[in-house]
Amino acid sequence: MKDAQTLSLSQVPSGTRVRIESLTSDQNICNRLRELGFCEEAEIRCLTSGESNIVCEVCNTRIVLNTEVADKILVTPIKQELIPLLELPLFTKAKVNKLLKIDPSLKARLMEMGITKGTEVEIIRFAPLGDPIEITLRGYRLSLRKSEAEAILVSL
Amino acid sequence: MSLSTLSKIKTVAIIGNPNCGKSTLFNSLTGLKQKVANYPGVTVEKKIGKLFLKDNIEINLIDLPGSYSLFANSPDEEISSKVLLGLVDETPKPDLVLCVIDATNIERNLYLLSQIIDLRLPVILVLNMIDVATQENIKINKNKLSALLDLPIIETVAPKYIGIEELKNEITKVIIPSTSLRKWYTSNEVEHNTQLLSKKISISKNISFDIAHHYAVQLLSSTNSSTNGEFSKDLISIADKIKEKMSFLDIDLSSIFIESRYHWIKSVCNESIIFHRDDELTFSDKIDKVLTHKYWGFIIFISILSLIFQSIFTWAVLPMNLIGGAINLFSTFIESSIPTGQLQQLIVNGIIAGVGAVVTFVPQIFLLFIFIGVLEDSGYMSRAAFIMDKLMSKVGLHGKSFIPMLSSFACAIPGIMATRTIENKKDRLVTILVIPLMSCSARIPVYTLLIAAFIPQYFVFGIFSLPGLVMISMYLLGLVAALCMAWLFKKTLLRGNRQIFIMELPPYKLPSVKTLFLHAWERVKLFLKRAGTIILGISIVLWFFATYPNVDEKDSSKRLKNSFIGQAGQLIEPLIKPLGFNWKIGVGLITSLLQREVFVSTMGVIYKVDDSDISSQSLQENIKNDIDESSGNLSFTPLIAICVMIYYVLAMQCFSTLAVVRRETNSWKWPIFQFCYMTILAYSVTFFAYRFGLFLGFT
Ligand SMILES: Nc1nc2c(ncn2[C@@H]2O[C@H](COP(=O)(O)OP(=O)(O)OP(=O)(O)O)[C@@H](O)[C@H]2O)c(=O)[nH]1
Ligand SMILES: [Mg+2]
Repeated sequence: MKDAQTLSLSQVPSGTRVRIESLTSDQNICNRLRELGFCEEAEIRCLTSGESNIVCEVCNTRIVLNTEVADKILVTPIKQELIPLLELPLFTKAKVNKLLKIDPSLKARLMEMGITKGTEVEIIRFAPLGDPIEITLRGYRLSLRKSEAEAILVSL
Repeated sequence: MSLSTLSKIKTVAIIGNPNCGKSTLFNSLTGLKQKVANYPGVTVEKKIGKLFLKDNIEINLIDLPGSYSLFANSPDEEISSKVLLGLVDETPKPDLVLCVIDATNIERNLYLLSQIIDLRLPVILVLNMIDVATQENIKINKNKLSALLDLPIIETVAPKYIGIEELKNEITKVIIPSTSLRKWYTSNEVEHNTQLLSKKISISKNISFDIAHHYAVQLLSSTNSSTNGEFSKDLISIADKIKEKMSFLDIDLSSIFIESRYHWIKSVCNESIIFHRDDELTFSDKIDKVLTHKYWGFIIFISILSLIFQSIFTWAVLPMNLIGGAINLFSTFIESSIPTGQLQQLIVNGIIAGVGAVVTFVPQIFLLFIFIGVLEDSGYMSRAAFIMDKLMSKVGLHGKSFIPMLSSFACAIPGIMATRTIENKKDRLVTILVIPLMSCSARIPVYTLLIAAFIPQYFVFGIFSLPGLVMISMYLLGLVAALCMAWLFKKTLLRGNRQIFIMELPPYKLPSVKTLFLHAWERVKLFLKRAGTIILGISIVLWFFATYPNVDEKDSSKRLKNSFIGQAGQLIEPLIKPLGFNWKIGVGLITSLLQREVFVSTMGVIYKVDDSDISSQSLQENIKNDIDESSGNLSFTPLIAICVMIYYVLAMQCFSTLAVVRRETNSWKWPIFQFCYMTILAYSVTFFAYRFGLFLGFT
């Protein structure tokens, strides 16, 4: 059941539950992963996703993987969970789902910029101190302050 | 049961996933003191102990390294599977296996168990960490599980000795041979072909069908490249044919065995375990949010290390002074109670000065081991590896290499052994090569002696004491040098891609005070033992060489200068002059080739012999006031002290480490290379540091 939803484990935001679709790295590595519980069809949870490695929960244990491995594990999210845009890892496409209750003028402004329900967005850069962030949507780039981005919830 | 079955059991092996409590169980059963800590990969070598059952029956119990699977991925896992398969010459094949299973993580732990059942070895399932499972509200139907697996199950809490007696009892009741059979099945075609191959293997290798089946699965599920010379060409070609046939049927042999096992495991778990799971973050996850945070994690880690090294220096001062005072008192007591003469000189200037100089550092060694113990037993060790992964990947290694490096702050030898958990050969070798650059406990006496003598007690920004900061810098210098050399080796000698990194993070727990103290005390005992043997011996020899041949010379420093040691020292002086070292330091450098702390005892003896008339002075003061006759300058200045420390950070001065490197790499090539590169590195860095210091205007 491969559909557009399939992404690599390294693109999964923290806190998301996913089902493993397939393992595509070298066979020995795949087998080791399977032995650790990363079998096809198994459900795992991504606890933290960082730049070079991620921690996930498998069979009630925490396992760290670096992106070399995680890139080659293809997964699908189990639930349509809403996550704050800020927690989206770099270069992961997601759809805007909701804007939190904020100052109406700010909300209107964001919507005018094209951040409306269903729009596909993707973070392409965090500035060195995390603020501002740069996202792409509707074919253009937009720089947002963290405080503004906090209001945006997306789903994968 | 009857004595007849019991008498058949001679060897019992403990096996299980990493960090499930095998060594704790081993200790509880045998009363030995194997190292226990809360991170995967603590035990990396098999250890045999005696287990006494009722009626004075004695059994050999083997503690094994943790492993996730019998298809080993790293050298430590290989030991476990080899012992189980009876492939190790010096250890007999176990007659019974105690398979330890972490009760909080039964699902994954059962995977290894299923592989062991397949070998038809008699198994007792030890369900350890029952206390944690109860806390986490995991309900296990023990009888049901036992029936499903067809195995006896004993629930234990190993550190509290709960279930240990029952376990001993159960061992006496074990039925040989095992009645438990393989429970999982793949598909008809796969089963059929695997059986076929197993029979062929069984005949050609002359082994039982069950073990042959294990090999057949290994052969069928691995890629061509990884099947090594264990199998004959015939067998490999049969296996290849089967693989081809199966791929034609669209069956993925590489995954089907593992999946079928897990499929069976899942059904077992569903029937016997009630597992309350939700998306709420656990206690450990919450701590991890901070401790493994992108920025904070690193800052906290560096602060923890700094705190440790700073406090080793500051907290230990008081007990050190006490010990030093006691040794001085003892020395004067001996002096007054033994008539003046060579014997008195030997005891006071040789033995007490040499051994005493080293013994003074016991409090620091103890503190260091307590601190490292806390890191290890709290579960922070794996987090440190996680945090350092990013930096380590810049030099071409990964986080797992950092755990052995961190343990090398205690001692390089266990650190080098611990590299067995690294899967990749080249990465392991690189890690072994740079490990001795990490400052081990044997360097502490050298650092402390020189820092206490030459670095003024002065507070930077009001909080950091300057001596503490110098101490931290020495540790940092070692760490930075290790990272740079690792980078260099990865770029030149041992090139390779960035490797994959898979590591388990254990839950946090409060370190057990008892284990901490026991372990630290063991290490202190070892240290004292060395002081009482090697260092004692060296001190006596040193005293002799420092006193003879001109025993009758009245002027003590002239006597020293013309002694054997003095002559030898002056012979090598030109070699170390560029570093700013005088011949006395040179003697220290040579004697400490055996062990680094010998430097301190050497200084102790030399300066004692030198100034035997002013016996009340401490070694620190002697060093500080020593004047080099040839130039008339102070022979030690702060700059020279720093240079000596830098030399000690970088130089390879530990023969036991070299011997372990030779054993782990199976050749003399690498230890010799290591010795050479480290000596060259130490010499050149010290040289430039000295020149730079002179340039800045220090003397
Ligand atoms: N609460 C609890 N902790 C335990 C129990 N058994 C072991 N531990 C702790 O679990 C940690 C790991 O124990 P070890 O005995 O070192 O585990 P191991 O299986 O030998 O680990 P490796 O040698 O790395 O494979 C230690 O911190 C122990 O104190 C138990 O029954 N209950
Ligand atoms: Mg162990």
